[in-house]
Amino acid sequence: MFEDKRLVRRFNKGDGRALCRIYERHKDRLLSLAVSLLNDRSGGEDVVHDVFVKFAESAGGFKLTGSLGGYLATCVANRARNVNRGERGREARSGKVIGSAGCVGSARGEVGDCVGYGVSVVVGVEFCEEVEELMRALDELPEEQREVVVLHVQYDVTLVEIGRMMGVSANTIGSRYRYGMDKLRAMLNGRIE
Amino acid sequence: MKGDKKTRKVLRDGRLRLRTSAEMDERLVGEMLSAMKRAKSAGGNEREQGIWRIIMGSGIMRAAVIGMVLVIVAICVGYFGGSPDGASVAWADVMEAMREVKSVHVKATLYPPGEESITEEIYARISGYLRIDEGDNSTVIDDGSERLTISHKEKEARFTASLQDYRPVAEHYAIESAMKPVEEWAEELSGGTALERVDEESSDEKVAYRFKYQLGNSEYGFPQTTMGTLVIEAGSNLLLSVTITSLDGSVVYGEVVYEYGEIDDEIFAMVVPDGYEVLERKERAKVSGRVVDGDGKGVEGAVVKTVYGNSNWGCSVVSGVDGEYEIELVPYELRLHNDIVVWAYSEDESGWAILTIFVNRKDIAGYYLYNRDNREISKSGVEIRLEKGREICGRVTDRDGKGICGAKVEFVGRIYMHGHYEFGGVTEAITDSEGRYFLRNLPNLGNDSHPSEYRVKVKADGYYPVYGYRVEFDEGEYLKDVDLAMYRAGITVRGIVKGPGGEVLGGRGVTLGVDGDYEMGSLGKRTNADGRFEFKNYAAGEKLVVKAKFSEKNHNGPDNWIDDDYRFYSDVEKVIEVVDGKMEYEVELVAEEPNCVVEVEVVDGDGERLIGFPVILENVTVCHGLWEAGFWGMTDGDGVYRFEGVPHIIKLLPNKLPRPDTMKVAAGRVHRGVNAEWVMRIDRDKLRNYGELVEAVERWSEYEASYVYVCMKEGVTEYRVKIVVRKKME
Repeated sequence: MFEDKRLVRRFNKGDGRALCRIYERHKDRLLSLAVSLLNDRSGGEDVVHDVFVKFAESAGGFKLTGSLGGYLATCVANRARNVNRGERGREARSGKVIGSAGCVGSARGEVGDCVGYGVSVVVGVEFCEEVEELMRALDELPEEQREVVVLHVQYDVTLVEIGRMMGVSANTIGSRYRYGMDKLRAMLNGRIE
Repeated sequence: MKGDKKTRKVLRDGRLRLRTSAEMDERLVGEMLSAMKRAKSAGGNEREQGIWRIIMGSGIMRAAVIGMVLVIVAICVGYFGGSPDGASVAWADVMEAMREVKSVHVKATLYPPGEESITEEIYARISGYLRIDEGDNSTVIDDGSERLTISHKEKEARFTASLQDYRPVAEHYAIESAMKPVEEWAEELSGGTALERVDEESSDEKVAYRFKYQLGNSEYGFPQTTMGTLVIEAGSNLLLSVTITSLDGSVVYGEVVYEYGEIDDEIFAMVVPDGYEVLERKERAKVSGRVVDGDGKGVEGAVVKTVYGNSNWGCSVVSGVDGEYEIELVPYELRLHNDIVVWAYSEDESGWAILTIFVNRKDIAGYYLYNRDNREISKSGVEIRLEKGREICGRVTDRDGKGICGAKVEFVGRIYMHGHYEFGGVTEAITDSEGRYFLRNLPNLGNDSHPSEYRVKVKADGYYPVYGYRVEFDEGEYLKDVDLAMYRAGITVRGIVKGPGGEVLGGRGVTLGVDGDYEMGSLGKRTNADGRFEFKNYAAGEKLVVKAKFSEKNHNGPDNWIDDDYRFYSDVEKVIEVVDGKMEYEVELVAEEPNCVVEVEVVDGDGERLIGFPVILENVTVCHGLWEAGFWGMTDGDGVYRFEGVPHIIKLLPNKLPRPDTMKVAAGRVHRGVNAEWVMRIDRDKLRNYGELVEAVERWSEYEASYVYVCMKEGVTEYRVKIVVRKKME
């Protein structure tokens, strides 16, 4: 956080290297978040692109009130929501479209280790069954709850911060989080203990 | 609740951990910098002026120009073998002379294009007197007990306590930067540094040099070239002046002149000018309380140390009989750019603690204190509870197991706090006669998702340094025994890198590792325009592994983003058997002709093959984005496209196990970067080809993009994949 604050100050002064350093520090995390919310790497890259360009345009007048990571993560979530609602639609967002497309290859030589679920194969994360199951359940959550759960649990953004950035009270965010977690548990029906 | 906890854990574990592609990085960095420039500038400034504005925009940056240039001197001289004039003035002498300086008057005049000049003067007596005149804006005088800040515009003056306990005059940037050239700057700048004696401006009394260096790390941004002239006094070896000019030397942007004579006492007199209002004196905020152990018992002799940002600017106190302490903070009127961290540790009790102090300008005392759970705490009665710290101990030896005495062992890990990683740097140790060391009080922060990293760095005369050897702690483990065997230094490896046709390849990455142990030392270099590279003073292991990283490409900036001749190949590795007594080795690394085939079939949702559908092949984890060298095309009459001559790329991952690398085949809409704007940046000859690709993408725009990942495996050269693309949903 200290470095972020220093970087933001330099960024506001027009230091391009500070901007690049901010990008370096947060890009992977934000890309992961965007792809988590969209289940589409390409769309996720676009979201990260838009957020960072917008952020760059705020040079000189950017005021950091909380953590920069939290701020950027919430921007990504907001942008991803717009993409989901306005540009693609819920069905088109579904990772299953991409996932199924990505896994129908047949081998003459060798075909990629596609696991049938979206883009997670990129990172070589070895998804155990329960993780994959949970991710599917997560995808079934209402968008608002899903956002809060992902931001809070997976990306450490505080509920207060999420509320502030989204213009919603912390209590509402807290409720979305609780409802989301309750539904996750219900959907999994005790399969994760 | 247990289920909830587990659910959260699984959610965390299942979090995607993606990395951006280098192509995305390059494209986005370029666009961000442009966007920032648009935001910051009214437009019309030339690049050099823009850079100058960036420097001028910040008081710190402006002031740092002085020190920065001094560092350049160090680098330039080191770069050319330690002798600025090739004979009488060695850099070591310059450094020595600067260290002996008792007082200095620095006058910096900066000439931002199209704006009024700005002058800053610094008077410093190393014994403890400092005066800074920032043109017409302000004057600061600090005599070691008092500090007077005069604001000329507001006609106000304020007394505060001296700040020299936090930062002695000798460590002021105008002096410190001359005394302690910064290692990281050296690495950052040395690539583009040049130094040339200017005979016509030199005489018996002084030696003038023209310097040229690159400011900026190409990894993060665009190198920015700066040039100018510096003058060293021949007799005293002291730096006399530095001038920064435009790239063609025609415009002077700034001059810095140094004088080393006695400075009159009146310069440091704490006198408020007539007609100025003296504001209420502000005391420095204090934090006080007790240092206690885990049982709440006071710990005597614990060190409580404030650290200002990443600098060594800070001060420390030792706790009293019952653990009580009181420590003064920097006055908040000062322009603080970083928060303050309070470290506390006790050698006797083997514990550590950490607090963070955030600057808050609205708060009357200027500070908020937080504990590491982000809870605000009061400023008095702050109990610092020491926790059990982690410890690393062991022996530093040579390869025969003989202890190395006097080696410096540093903790250089990263700690996780307040949602981010911060670099540590809490402790260091010097090895005893047996080579033993003991690092104590290492913070035990972080969580499952964000574990702290513990690394040790070892340096010893005559040995190749160990950079950041990683130490893993298990949960609940506090002590780790780590023996480190160092290699003797002194080996030189040089060589040449060629393509399959024997042509030399410039700008290629080459790494050198020793005995396959990358933790113990590996280096990276880039070949020059003649395809040559050189590693000097490297570790003398039994086997050295030299690798040409043909599968990677690092760009240096917008001017050479696109290189038509760039071709990717499989990495090539050569092992050098080190022979006793032989210190120099020469190798030749030749790329092999790529021979892999990737065949792609594109079908729609009904299984119908699509003809003329655009497909593109790119590397996900190694290469930087799109392969411009022809790895795209349109499906033929059978709905198939065949990529030929694809390099077989196997990447050695940090876990040292060779794993198949992943390639991505995309159909339809490709990266956002391949749009008209981006294409315009590509060489004209290629524009035509990319134009076809872009047109094809547009033609099939009603289809959603799709892709598959192909893992390349050892010994397999043919790959076949099928991609299903579907129409976009309305």
